[in-house]
Amino acid sequence: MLGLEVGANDAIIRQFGTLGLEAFLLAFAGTLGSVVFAGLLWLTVRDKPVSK
Amino acid sequence: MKGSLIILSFFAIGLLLGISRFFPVEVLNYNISFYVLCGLMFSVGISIGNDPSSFRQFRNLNPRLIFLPLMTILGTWLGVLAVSFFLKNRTMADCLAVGSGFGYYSLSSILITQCKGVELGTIALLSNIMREVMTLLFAPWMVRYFGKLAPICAGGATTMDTTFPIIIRTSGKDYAIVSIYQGFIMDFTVPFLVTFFCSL
Repeated sequence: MLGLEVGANDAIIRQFGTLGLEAFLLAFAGTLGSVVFAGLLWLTVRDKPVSK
Repeated sequence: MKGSLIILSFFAIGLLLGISRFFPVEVLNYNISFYVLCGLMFSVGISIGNDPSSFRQFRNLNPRLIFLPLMTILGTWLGVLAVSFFLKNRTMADCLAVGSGFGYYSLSSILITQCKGVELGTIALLSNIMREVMTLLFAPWMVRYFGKLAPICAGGATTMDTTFPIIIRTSGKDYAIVSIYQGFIMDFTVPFLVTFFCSL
């Protein structure tokens, strides 16, 4: 349905490349941010067992 | 990966049908997305509620690992907020709504399309699929440089299903329960956070 809606909307089709780039930047930054925060938590638990 | 490609293929087919005007545009006025969303929310509820044994296993987790979903959320928000300064057409709330999909592209794209329109819905779909693909491709690299929790945080809401196998392979079997815990909590939070940021 989303594909149909996007395809029928000429304005969105014209800027599809820009939308893709924005999507990539958000995906990359979000993933990198969460990986860095995971690294911080890892520093505090790496020598401890996962569960009791 | 296969699941993402199938979803992308359906998106591409819909796109081509829309461009060619093969389907009358009036079809879109029936609000089919809303009914699909209702079905999706129903299945999310079932998947969260059908395994009470998971709750008991979560209680045995190292107490610090309880904060893993929180680290995923905070890290993601910080990342997308940084990017939002460079995206002139998007508000911070738009970027946070897209980021709060945490890889759950089906649910977040439908929710965002309903609230914010098809343009941001498209960004949400593509962005969350990209997050899943990045996790699948770069999990070994993440473990090497950021530790065994990194692919779990990167996987976001997908760590109970599509990215689970790669997490087990790269972080080790010990982290299976952590991965399930993370997926469980994130699956639950995505609809609330996405709806919240859409309402701002």
